[in-house]
Parts: sequence; C-alpha cells; structure tokens
Amino acid sequence: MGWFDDDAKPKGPSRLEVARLEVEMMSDMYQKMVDTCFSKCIVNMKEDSLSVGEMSCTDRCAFKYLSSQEAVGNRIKEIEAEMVQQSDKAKQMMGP
Amino acid sequence: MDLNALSEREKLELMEYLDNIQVHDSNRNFCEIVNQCFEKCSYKFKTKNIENKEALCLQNCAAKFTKFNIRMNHRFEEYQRERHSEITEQTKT
Repeated sequence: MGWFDDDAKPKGPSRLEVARLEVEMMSDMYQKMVDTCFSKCIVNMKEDSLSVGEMSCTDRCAFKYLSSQEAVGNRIKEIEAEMVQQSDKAKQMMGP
Repeated sequence: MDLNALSEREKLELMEYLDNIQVHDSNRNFCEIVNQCFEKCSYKFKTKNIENKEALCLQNCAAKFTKFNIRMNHRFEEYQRERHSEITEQTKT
C-alpha cells in the first residue's frame, strides 16, 4: 500500500451517494420551479386564495418547467456526446 | 436511478437523508416566501413600520404561496407519475 499502488484508485460515488445526490437535485429543482412560477403567475395580492387564472398559470408553468428541464438535459447530453466524438477524431488525426 | 438496486440498509439511510432534507427544505421554503412576499408587498419606505396595506398584502401573499405550493406539489407528482409510466411503457416495447 503506497502512492504507486495501482489498486488505490478513487472509487467515485457509491450507489447511496448517487441516490442522495439525485434526491438533492430534485429537491433543488422543485424549489426553483416553485420560486419562478410563483413570481411569474401570482401577481395580485388583493385576495388570500388563488384565482382561476392563477391556478391555470400554475399548472401550465409546472408542466412547462418540468418539460423544459428534460429538453435542456437531453440537449446537454447530445452536445457532450458530439464533443467526445470530435475530441476522439482529433486524437486519431494526431496519430499515435 | 433504480431505487430497488439499493440494499435495505441503504434504503434506510436514504429515508433518513430524505427526512433531513425535508427540514432543510421547509426552512428554505420559509425564507423564500418571506423574500417573495416582501418583494411584492413592500416597495415604499416612508416609515419603518409595516403599513396596513402592506400587512394585508403580506397576509394574502403568505396564504397564496402556501396554497400555491400545495398545488405545485400535486402537479409535480402527477408529472413524475406520467413520465414514469411513459418510460415503463417504452421499455416494454
């Protein structure tokens, strides 16, 4: 066991850590969604209940936000895959 | 992330973590309500005390935000359920 021991590789996050990080991410995302949609949809403070218009806005905002999150996530994956491809091509061209 | 891949002990740890996160979230939620409602309701600073109009606005805002949050929660869960069933449908075909 020493500095040059090949078995001593960083293990990366455990299954539990990954699950925890995912929970944290969902919680963060949910909070941001609530904050954004509230500031966009609920403007009038003359009553203490949501109006019909505000309720519709809430529903649409939630759906849009969640769909947007998916769209953004997928696009990021696409771009990253393209970048990996480009980097691999460049390495090939440079030769061994 | 397939939660069934976790062991019983790991699931328990995750549940504990969820409980902790809920306390964290409710604190954070409170701060956010205060912030949003202050932004929407208090925009004049003629005096240091809350004026009647502002007080009413804050009351309504707090009530609205709480109801809004509950509605958001339902929509969020709905969406997750729909997506989950869509994904399971896709993996079947």
